[in-house]
Amino acid sequence: MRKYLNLAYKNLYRRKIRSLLTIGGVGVAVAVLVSLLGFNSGYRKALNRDIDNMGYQILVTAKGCPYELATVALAGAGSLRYLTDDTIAKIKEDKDVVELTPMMMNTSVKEDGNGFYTFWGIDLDSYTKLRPMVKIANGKHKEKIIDPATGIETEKEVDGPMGRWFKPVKLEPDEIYLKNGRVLTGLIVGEGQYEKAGSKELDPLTGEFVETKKEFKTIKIMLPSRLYTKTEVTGLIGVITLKDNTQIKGDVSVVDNNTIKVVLQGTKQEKTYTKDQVQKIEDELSLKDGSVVTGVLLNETEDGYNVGDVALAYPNIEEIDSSLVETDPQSNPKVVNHSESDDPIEIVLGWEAAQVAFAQVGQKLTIKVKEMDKEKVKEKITDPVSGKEAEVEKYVEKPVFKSYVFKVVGVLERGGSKDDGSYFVQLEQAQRVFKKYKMLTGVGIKLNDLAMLPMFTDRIYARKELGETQVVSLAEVKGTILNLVQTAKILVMAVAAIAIFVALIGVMNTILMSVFERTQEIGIMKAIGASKFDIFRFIWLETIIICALGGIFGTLIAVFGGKGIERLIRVVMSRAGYVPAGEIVSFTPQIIIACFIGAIILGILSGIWPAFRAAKMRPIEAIRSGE
Amino acid sequence: METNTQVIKTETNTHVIKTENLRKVYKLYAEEIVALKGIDVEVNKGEFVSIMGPSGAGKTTFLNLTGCLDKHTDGNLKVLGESLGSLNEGQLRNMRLHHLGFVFQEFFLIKELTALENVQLPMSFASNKDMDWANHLLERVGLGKRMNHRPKELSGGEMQRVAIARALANKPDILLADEPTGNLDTKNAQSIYDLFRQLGKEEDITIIAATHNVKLAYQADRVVHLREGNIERDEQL
Repeated sequence: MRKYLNLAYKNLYRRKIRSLLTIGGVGVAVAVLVSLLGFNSGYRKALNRDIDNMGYQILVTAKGCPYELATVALAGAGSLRYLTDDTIAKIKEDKDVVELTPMMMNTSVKEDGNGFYTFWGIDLDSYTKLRPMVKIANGKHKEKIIDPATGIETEKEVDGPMGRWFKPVKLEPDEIYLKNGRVLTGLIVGEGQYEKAGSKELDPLTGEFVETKKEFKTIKIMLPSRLYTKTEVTGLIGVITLKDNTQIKGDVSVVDNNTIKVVLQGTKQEKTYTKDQVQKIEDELSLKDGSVVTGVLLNETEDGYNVGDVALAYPNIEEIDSSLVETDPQSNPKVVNHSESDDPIEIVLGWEAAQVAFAQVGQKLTIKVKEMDKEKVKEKITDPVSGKEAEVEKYVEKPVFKSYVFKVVGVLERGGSKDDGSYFVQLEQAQRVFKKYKMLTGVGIKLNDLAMLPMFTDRIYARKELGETQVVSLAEVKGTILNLVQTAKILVMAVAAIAIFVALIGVMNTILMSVFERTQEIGIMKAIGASKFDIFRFIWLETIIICALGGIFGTLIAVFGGKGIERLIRVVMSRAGYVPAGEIVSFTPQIIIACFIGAIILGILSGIWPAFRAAKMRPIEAIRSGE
Repeated sequence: METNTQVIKTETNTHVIKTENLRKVYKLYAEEIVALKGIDVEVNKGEFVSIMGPSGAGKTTFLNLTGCLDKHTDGNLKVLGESLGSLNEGQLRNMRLHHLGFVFQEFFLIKELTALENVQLPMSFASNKDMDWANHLLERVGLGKRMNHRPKELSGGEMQRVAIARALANKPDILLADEPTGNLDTKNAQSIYDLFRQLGKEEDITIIAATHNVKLAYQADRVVHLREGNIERDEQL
């Protein structure tokens, strides 16, 4: 046997480049397989760890798709729906609830577009009670100290807790006093302008009446979102704002996810609009007390209109004409705006977040948050009849980054979960920064007995005053994600199968070529007494050696390149939503052994045909082939 | 297979090779080339036979048939008492491995293997573990000091000596050599023939060697002249 091994090795060595390329091919196939299996096992572990680190067993959120919920629960994603903050008191009434904590999660895209910040607005008391494992880190570290008198920043080495949790701050709502005596309490979210057709005026040059447009300044205030019951509402009408700022009122319904239909108010006339034409759709609720509330009942997503979708709570923003605001004796508008405060917001950073931001306790951090704002732009238009050109002004929505100053007061202990990369602030602060006044993304709940979950869920669903909520147990979330991953795994396995098939053909081709090149040599061996089996055996051995070396090579790539693969998966998966924290690609000895055996089997299979061809050669013809 | 070997040896009479009307026809496309036109020849045990004749006379064909590398078309060919026409492929291989040794004009050594490994190769096919025998053979052919050299580090004469040692590895009864000195100079050619004569005497091996070289041919016990597939002359010396 050693003789054959020696000969096989020497033959492979003689064709170094070809052998290395083939080994490389097998190596890549094996590396793909090893990484896949490693990812599968690592991902499952990481997911379990994330779920177990959650602390609460149940999450109540606004109704949505299960994956979105999972995403909210574990990582957070963009288009979220919200619960109103009165939900918390209502859920607390339930007899099985031991502890609960309101949470407001939001993400903000980093200015350079590279990733995003994950902010958690939390209620410190209840949060730390439910999640005692989230702690301020301890150990040697550096702290920044700013002298209040001189403003000079110094650094000192400290051994001990890395700061503290943020101190709760009482945040007063903003107020706008109107001339009619009404006081609006909420969150001032910005200023705006709008144009309104004014009266007709005589143009002194042409002698014709022309319509004038007047510009009005507005203040936008977000009032507490809430759900209205049928008895409070006297009328509901849809308001469609088109891209050219025209407003159409009527009974709005969805045709398909690109088209809506509106039955114009007071008529039976129908009009349809496509997604491209529409700027926004709102609903106007007329209440019994005579006031009108606008908000979104009809939900538009990035994919189009959601047929039959109803939003739960919505930003209830009123845009107040500044001329309606009362003024003080110095003729300043009577507006109390606490949001404009320049005091830095106290923030606690997860371990990784602190590392990434190079943040130390005591340091100030400026984080820019993306907001939508209106911008006035000029546009050239041409009159189709006269051909005259004119410039018109119009408002377009555009994203702006607003800076907020935070002060790092603490860094959390590394927990191996998503929290490591998160930023924690007081709930009310998060609501203020992200303009989600009195809104929550979820409520984490601990029941006195998890077995009561089905009954609890039924009770929550039965309480219509909570609106359309969804109760998610984290075990279910885990199942949902694992199912999704399983589906993806099957797909990727198919890719691996193709890679292996290609490797098989590659190996077969290499060996077959070397068999043809060595026809004469095989003939000579037969002439000096080699049997069919002898020939078969040593050709076969060559393929097995190639595949075994490929297997070792592939496993090494996978294991040593694992970190790179992990980074790649993170990038790809973070686009899809949720990626568990910690190691998501992990290799067990079983995986490595299985893949190595797989490579050997590959060799055995791909070697059969070439070895058989070689064994079948007739000695005299084989010898003559060289002449 | 091993028992088979014993049977053949006991049956062996003085004629190690016996042919009757041995014919070989090659088909080249539509054309038929008759390489041997009915040869009757008997070779005795221990005899050293030279086969002479111009190119295309059938020397190589005769050796290939006798060496179980090819099958004859007609007639009868008995080697060591076995009718080769009636043997299956496994039995033919057995003949090649245990009873026949083949030496080619082009030496045909395995390039990757050392002289010693080349000699050991047929031994390993025969599952012969006595690797000292290979050393002994190389010493016997005068290459005791060059055992671990690869073919490209050896001269033509040395390579042919390795090839002879390889042919002798499994102690064959018959050594077949097709133009063994065709690629060698006179001095080396002579020493190969000296080696043949020695082996014939000392090991009682039957040697059949095809050659063009008259001077070498007449150093054998007998010279068979072939011409156009027929025996022209059979000279006992």
